[in-house]
Amino acid sequence: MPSEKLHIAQASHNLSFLESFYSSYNYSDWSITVAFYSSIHIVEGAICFKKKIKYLGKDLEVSHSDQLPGAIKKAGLTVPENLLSASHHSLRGLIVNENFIEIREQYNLLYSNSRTARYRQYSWQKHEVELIVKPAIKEIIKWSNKECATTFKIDFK
Amino acid sequence: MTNRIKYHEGSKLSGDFSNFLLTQQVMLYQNQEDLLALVLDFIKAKEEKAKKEGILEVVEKITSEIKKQMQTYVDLVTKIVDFIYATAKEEFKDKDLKILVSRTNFCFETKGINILFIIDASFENELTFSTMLHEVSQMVLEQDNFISELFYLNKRNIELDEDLIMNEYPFQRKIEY
Repeated sequence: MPSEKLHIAQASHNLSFLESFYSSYNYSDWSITVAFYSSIHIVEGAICFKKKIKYLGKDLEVSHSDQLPGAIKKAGLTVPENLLSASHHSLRGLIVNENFIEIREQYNLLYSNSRTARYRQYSWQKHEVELIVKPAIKEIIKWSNKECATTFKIDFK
Repeated sequence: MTNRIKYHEGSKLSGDFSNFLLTQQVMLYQNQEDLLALVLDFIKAKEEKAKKEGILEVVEKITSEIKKQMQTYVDLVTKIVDFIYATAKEEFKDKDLKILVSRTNFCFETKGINILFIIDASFENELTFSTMLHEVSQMVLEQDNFISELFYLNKRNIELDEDLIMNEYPFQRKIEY
């Protein structure tokens, strides 16, 4: 499992990449994807930082979303019937929805749009990415810097 | 002639008799090969019958359990879709949002729940719909003990790759919004 430091480094790297091309609006499909992958690392960094998460109201010791199935079993909690088929994204989503309430709307918005981007043939209008990417990633950065003592920044110019 | 065996206590007789293995008991008779063959044939026939009945019983039990699990899974997917339609109808009554279609894929092996809602909405209502989906997902986890992935796609002003959607979400719920 990557450490908190590695997640922070990867998130910074992705944010810097997003910053480099976002304002041209030539690769808006990639803006959604890169913003989502930045938020993944920010969230994983936060899970690592906090070391404890809540799952259905119970405290679990987890430092990466992939550890959630094992932690549920170890704690003797009821295991969701389709847990084994759950994707990494899905497990992370469960953690975000219950633990990181301040950013769950933004995170889910990026997740859903990055997942469905191929159905819209990767075509995004300028105003769409402006409405989705900018506010979502700014809010997620602001939250992480406050909650997890990170120093992420992004300048959309 | 008195049937002496009739007056013997059954237990006494069988007590002595059962000290021998079946094959050894066969040796006590003439034409032992014929008797042995008879005994073995009988055992084989009974074994085969028991196997068939046992397998049938196990197969029936497994099939019944699988059918039950499949029913629960399909019912839950349908319940989620219908709940979202009903909630959206109420919450977005006079608002700029319409669910155009909902599609899903069923995987009976993994029981994964993946549902895609294609909507036509303003951005503001799209956001509210997105929030509603993850609230429903959380509710499904808490109440039904299933992880669900609920996605949406806002069709407004964009061209969709219908073939790709149909390929990945082959089943469309018949429902009037």
